[in-house]
Amino acid sequence: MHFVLLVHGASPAAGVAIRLHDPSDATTLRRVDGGLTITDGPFAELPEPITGFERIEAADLDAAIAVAARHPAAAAGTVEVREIRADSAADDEPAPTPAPGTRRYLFLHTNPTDRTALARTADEPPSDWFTSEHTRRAVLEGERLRPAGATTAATVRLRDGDALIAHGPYAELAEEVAGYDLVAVVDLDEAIALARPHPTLVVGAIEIRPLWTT
Amino acid sequence: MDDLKRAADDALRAAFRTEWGVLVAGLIRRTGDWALAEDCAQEAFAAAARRWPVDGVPASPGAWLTTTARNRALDRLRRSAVEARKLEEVLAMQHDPDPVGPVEDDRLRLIFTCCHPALALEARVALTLRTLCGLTVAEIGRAFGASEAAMAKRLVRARAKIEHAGIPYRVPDAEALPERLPGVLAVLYLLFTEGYAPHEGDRVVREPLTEEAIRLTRLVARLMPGEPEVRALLALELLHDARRPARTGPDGVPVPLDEQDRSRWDAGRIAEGAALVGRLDPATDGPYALQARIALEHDLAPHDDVVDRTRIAALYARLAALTPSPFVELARAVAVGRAAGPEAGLALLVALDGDKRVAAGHQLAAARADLLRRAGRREEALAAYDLALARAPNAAERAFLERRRAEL
Repeated sequence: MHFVLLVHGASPAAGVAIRLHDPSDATTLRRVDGGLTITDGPFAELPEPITGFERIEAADLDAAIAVAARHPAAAAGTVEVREIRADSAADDEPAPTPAPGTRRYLFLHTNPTDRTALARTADEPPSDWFTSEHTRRAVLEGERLRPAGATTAATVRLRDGDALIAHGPYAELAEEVAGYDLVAVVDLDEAIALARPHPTLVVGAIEIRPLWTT
Repeated sequence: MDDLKRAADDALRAAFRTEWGVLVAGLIRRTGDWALAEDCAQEAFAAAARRWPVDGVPASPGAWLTTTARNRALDRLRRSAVEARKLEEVLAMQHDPDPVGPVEDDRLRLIFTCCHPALALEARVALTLRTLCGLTVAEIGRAFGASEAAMAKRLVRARAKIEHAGIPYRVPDAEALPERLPGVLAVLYLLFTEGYAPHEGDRVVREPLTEEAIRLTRLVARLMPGEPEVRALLALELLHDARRPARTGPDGVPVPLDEQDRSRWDAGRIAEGAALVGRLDPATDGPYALQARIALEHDLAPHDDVVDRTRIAALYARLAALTPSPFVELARAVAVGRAAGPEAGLALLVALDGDKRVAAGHQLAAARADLLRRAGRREEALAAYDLALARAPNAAERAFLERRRAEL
């Protein structure tokens, strides 16, 4: 099975595969009254902002939790474990390498936790975002996550050598992270243009977070 | 010597108004370094302040300043041993005459970048004032009631975000314009409504922020002739600014609109605003266009009694549909109160008591107090004025409310 580790707090995120810039460097897109609204900041002000990201393989949720508990970030912050959907978009094609002159961003897709709001997406025609040439060139990898529940998600903290584990979502919020894309584009405007037609925006938001370049 | 100094000061003031933004915009394009661009522009003007009173004002002040700033940039880049490519760009700058096209584009680039919606609104405003208008960090702080240190920090943060998030230095594509232009207009509108008065005794006397806002709005309107909302914003600013001479009494107390001496209103600005509104197509009216039309109703009426309140109330209703906000509803209620009688207006205010964005503020209380006064409900009006006074944000507002209360 595949899981995503979202590192909260622990800034700069210690030992994490993908380190993100500060949440104040984030930009969030929403669709309001048919038009695109761009705002400064993350999709929500979390008590511990998301600072890092990693993708792992594990036999099951408990195994993933064990990996998270050993992660350096667990001692400094909180590691959120989320299961990737088995039917997620990942295919067998090798991931494209970032084109020269591009910088990488993480798209965090959010969905409302309120199921009735989410149901509005059922009537939307299928989007060609996933098959467009532009997407193929710019998106390095991307996955959809299972909604956070007791059997699909957990939060892990390491305090004084004790692993504090809670099953379920990171917090009770109006929106949760529902998927991600790692993209390589020239600048923020291109990232926004890439995200603009994505179906997430029917009911959710897309947070665009720049990666630390080392 | 005195004449030379005076001529130099005048030329410097004029050059600052027209050249600062151009200079900074060009330097950013060439060097990609915002802080460097501002510093070199600042040093060029400082050099002009030293040399022009002695050597006389140059035939082309803009070219003098540009050359000086570029040389300064070259010096600093050389000294910081920067990468060869960047240095080449700067060297190329020395031989590059300023064609009209890219200069205009440079300032438009700068405006759109400073006003990128990925930056917090307060960051956009600070960045615009610093890089486009050349206000010092201290002046910007004064304008917005923040310390110089806090403002400096805000600017550093803004530039950091531009770099970290990869905000590009360019004019947005046509496709992106609808989502980008509102960000620019929001900044210009905020600059206008802040309208601060500059301190006397500054080296280069600053004009009020309202003038900066109008000047920038004119620039954007000229550079984007196909965008009616920009012209609408300009009209709105002109129509409001036209009333400025009558807005404050000799004692500094604000004079309400219905009591202002209309003969002191700026007829030239009203005419210009009216002409701009006349060219707007009502079918495509955005929020600024509607507000401009409302302002025009007031500005064209020879007397407060003949202002068409019914039309104003209808315009506020359309505005509320576009940009729902309790403040718009409040304004609409006031207009309805004048058009259909105070009881009708009071009825609309009731709905706002539940909206926490306005319920605790002084505007709602003041509006209610005024309508109760007009309705002849004296006891309730007194209580409402007391509530408004308790919440009044400053002395001028308090003085005005106290006067109204005393008249009861």
